[in-house]
Amino acid sequence: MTDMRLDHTSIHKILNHIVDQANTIILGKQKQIQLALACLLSGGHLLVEDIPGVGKTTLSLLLAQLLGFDFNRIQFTSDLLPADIVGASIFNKNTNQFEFQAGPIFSHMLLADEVNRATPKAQSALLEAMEEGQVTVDGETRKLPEPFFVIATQNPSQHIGTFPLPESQLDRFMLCIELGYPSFDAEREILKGSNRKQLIQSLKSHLSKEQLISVRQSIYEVHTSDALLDYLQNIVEYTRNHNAFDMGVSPRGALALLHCSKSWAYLSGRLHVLPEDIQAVLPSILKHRLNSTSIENHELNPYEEIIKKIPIP
Amino acid sequence: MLNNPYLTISKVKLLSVSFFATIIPHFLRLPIWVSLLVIACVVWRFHLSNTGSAIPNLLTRISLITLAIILIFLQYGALFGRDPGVAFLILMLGFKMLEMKTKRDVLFFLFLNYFVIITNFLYSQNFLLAIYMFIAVWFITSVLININRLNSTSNLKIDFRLSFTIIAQALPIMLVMFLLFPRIDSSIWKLPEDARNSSTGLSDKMSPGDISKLIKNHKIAFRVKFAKQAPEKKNMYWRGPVLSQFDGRSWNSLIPKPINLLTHRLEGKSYSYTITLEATGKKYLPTLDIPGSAPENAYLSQEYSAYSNFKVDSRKSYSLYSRAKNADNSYSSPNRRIYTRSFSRTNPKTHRLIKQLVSNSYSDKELIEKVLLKFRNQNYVYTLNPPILGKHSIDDFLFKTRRGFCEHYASAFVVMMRSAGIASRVVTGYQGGEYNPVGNYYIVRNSDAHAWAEVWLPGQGWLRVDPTAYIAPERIEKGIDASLRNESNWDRSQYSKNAIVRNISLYWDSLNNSWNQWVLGYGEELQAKLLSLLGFDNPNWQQLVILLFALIAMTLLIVFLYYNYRKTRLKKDEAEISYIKFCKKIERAGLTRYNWEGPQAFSKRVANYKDDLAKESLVIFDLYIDIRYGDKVTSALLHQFKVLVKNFQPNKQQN
Amino acid sequence: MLKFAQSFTRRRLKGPESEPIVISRKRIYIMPNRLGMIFSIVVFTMLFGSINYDNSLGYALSFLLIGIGFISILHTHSNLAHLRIECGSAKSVHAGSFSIFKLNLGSNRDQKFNIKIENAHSKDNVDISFKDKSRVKLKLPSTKRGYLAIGKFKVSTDYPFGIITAWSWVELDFNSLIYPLAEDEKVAVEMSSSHKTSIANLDQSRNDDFMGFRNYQNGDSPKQLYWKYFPANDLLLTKQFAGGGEDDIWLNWETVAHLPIEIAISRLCRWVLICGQSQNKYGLILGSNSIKPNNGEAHKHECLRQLALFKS
Repeated sequence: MTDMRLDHTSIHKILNHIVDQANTIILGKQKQIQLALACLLSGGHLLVEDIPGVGKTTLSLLLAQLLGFDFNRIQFTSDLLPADIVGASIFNKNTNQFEFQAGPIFSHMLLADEVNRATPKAQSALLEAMEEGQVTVDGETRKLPEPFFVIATQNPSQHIGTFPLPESQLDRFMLCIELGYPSFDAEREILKGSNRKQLIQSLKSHLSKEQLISVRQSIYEVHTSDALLDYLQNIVEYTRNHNAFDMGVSPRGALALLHCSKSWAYLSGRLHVLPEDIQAVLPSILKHRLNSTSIENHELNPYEEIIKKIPIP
Repeated sequence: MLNNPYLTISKVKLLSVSFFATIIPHFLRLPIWVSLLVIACVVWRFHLSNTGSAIPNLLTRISLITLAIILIFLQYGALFGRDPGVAFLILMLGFKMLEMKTKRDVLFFLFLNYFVIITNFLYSQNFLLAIYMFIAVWFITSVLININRLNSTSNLKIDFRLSFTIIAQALPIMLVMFLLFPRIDSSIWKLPEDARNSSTGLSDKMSPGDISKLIKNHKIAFRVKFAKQAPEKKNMYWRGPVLSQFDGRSWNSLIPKPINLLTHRLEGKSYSYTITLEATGKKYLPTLDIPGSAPENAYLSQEYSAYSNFKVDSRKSYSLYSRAKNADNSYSSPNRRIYTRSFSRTNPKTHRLIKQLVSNSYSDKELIEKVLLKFRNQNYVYTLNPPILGKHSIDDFLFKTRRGFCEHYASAFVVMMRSAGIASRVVTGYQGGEYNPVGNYYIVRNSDAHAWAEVWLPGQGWLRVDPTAYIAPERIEKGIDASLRNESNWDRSQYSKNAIVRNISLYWDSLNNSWNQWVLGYGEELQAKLLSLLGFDNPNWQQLVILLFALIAMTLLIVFLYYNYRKTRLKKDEAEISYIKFCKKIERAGLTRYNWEGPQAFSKRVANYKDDLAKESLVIFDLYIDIRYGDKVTSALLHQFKVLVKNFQPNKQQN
Repeated sequence: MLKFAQSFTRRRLKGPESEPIVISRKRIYIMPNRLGMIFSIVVFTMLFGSINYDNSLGYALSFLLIGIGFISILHTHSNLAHLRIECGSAKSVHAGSFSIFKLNLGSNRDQKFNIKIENAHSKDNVDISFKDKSRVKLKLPSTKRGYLAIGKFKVSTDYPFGIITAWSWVELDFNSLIYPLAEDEKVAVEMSSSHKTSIANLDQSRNDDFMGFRNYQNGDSPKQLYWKYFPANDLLLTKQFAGGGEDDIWLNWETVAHLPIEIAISRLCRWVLICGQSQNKYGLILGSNSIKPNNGEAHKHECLRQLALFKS
């Protein structure tokens, strides 16, 4: 017991350090960074949604670097083919045989940039791989490396030339975060500061792969009391039965909420989940899962509003 | 029918259960064809629900009802009254079972089931039936709840539990109403004749064999509780009707005339007692020989028998006293024309015998003794099964058969006395009784019925002479069983029990006695006593009604409050309740928690609000978080938390 | 009598309230119903019989039943109290058909049985278990486009004995958006000839049309290769397909502005529905308001929503 706690505090130190370092690169986005980290630590894929140029790519690069993953990147375009993602069998004229050429997806961390620019065919190739942890090319199943993370960025759907991801596939992303414009001070720092890319490359990874796996195990063991599960279920219930939403949160969504709250609690240095943890991750969990039908009725973010509808006794 | 949600096969099962629960006691009494018809209806209903076919059409239903009416008329010779009424009601319920369609039908059927329970009480009201009543009501109520549910089948257990709760909650109301509902002793309408309990007892006529018939009946005739001391068993002569008119074969009583109580004087030891008489349907009230006065609403006849002003149609309780000896000796002799009248044309041998005896005797007393000695010495047998007697019944008995029962001996003795010119009469009643040490009272059964004689001697008045005591002394000293033990058709089951069974039956009778006295006997009189105990000495009915409703309202309020209290306790756990108290205290200090705000967020807000508040509250917040969301909750921690919350006093002055 | 009391108490309702509505004790009315009358007749007959026959057990049974009647008031009352009513969803429908309002019933206390919910047009009943929610539906006829309020409805129960009814009137702030009535399909199609891409000619299915061949490039799926060509020529060809490419359709208010407003709206509505069935992208111009061309369910509903609220 004491062993584990010691372990926990030292790991917590490392994680804090990672967050601190990330904050020096991407300024004024502590919450988003912590959310992204929580998502990756609980084994989920991350969707970053925002207009171009606010640092989506920088964030993914940064996370990959800090967690010590090999990193591939695919720029999604409208003429991207599934084979460009998963790889393809190439005809070797000398042997008169097809040989498999692994695609960029075979890596620990994949940045799928502007995922909604590609055609649905290409999108589903990626999303299937995310779900299964494996790809099937020409009838042959190939395992993806473990752990496997996808950070996908997407432009707001109103933008021209986009193919919005269908709901069923959006559900496979654990979190969806928005970065938003930097604050005045942060922007001044960016303008004054040096090249972010170089800064990132100068960073060093602090977490071994074994440590990462043990962190994930510890997060899995974070305690959730009955009172907390009641609260969580009330939230899920509310989204399912309420007029403001077309569709409620799926059981997979509820699980995502639970896991993500656990890693948020873990990142905050606790071994039990509080309602506040759920409240912190809830908007990002719901954002891409629920289709709000009555956004015009709410001036505020409807996902934030849910929090105020569910009492904590 | 097919899409009728209220009568699935499972509901029909439930309804049949409730139906049979209410009519089973009636089955023992009803003619067999009624029971069979009702069972047939239920089976038919099952068939209908099983196959989903339509209910019988109107014509079938009307002809069934007509058939039932005709059959009932043929059976009872009447359509109204207790027995045909009950049979009709039960048949109608059977038919109702067939034609039920809507929820309203079903509920009405169940209400009528309640009604059937009450008809049982027209036959008996004993203690067991009261228990049965509660069980039957429980069944019907559970089915009622089940019918009112949407998805019923799986929740039968809950229904039974809920109806049990409801009945338990209704009990205080029942009790209050039972005690305080204004009781009046007279009936509103005249009762149908047969609604009364079929009763047995003495009659104002006696032919040979009448009493021996009664003796075979082991039902309880009455119970006696003596205020202080009881007389010896052999002196317990319970006086019933006196029979003075003889027509040569059977005896009749005179029309009773009230005695002049001023001249009615008794002497000797006095006994005070209370008799609880079972319904007899007659007016006579048995008393210990000889009563000093009559109970309330009754009078004492000139022949010392007590008569009620009304027929005794229900159990009746009365108190009076008796003394051992008649002191009425200073007055003129009784009407000799009545008391010495004997038919000299019949029983010639007897008359001859008496003439011979009279000529040999110096006094009446000596004559009496000679006659009694004759009974004792001449092989007379005391038996329950005397041979049939001819036209000259006394002659046949005295000279031929010599076998008889108390009535034969009493009758023969009085006839002999009368032919000797001594005024005499037959007294019917009971002799002896069984002592119940549990309740300290005596049980007198119909089998204790007895007949004896009284003769009038100058200077002594009416004297009791019991010829049976000379023939079968054990009858008087040890009771009826001792004297009839060897008789073939004497039902000994009542007496030959072992000690345990006997004790149980004594306890049981004692319970029944209390039940009769306090529950069934609760009426105007006891109510008045109870009210005066409560301080209402002479309440009018308005006061009574107000008191009644006040108590009912109080019961409802208590149940209501209990429910609310219990429910809140069920909902929240202890930590939660304390936390809410804690938040209220902080609110008084100026900061309100949003209902969606978690404890950590709130504690931060509190910390930013006021420093001194933060210091005290931080511990409590941390503890609450540990208890509610942590994984190491102990009762000690919970206790500590509760104490901390209790002692937490935010300082208001500083604000 | 119960009906009268119920309609009388209906008037006391002050107007719509926002959700969730919790039926507090104060707003519950309670009264015996017709079966309650029958029950009391049966019980009082029993009581009169008992008085007449001076039957003690008869008294006891009558009083027990009276007690049960009294107690059932409490149980019926608490079966309705603390009932929580929340808005569920109300699917938008076109004017003229029944709009279905889904409500969520929950309990703040223990479980509840046989709760009836009723308005002039429909009724529904449901059991509610503690912590869970049950859904009920209320129907309301929609006559015109725009928002349709759920109106007053009655929540009642007669559990456990069916002899006493407790009820409460509720009016939620809960609206359903009613889409305009769509014009007859034939008429709408005939009147659409003025459009650049006639709605009548819309291709109902979007096939992947074969376009031609091109040389094999790395990464082409083997399924798309034209294998027949390979053995003879030693050259791999890939089949090429094309999809989409039709022009966007603009549905413009101006083209129907000369008509009476409701007819114009219902024609536009039908056009939207027809376009919605095709794969074409379509947009809607309503005066100053315009929706960019797109397709899919969400887009269709947005267009219908704008039509429902336009100038109403």
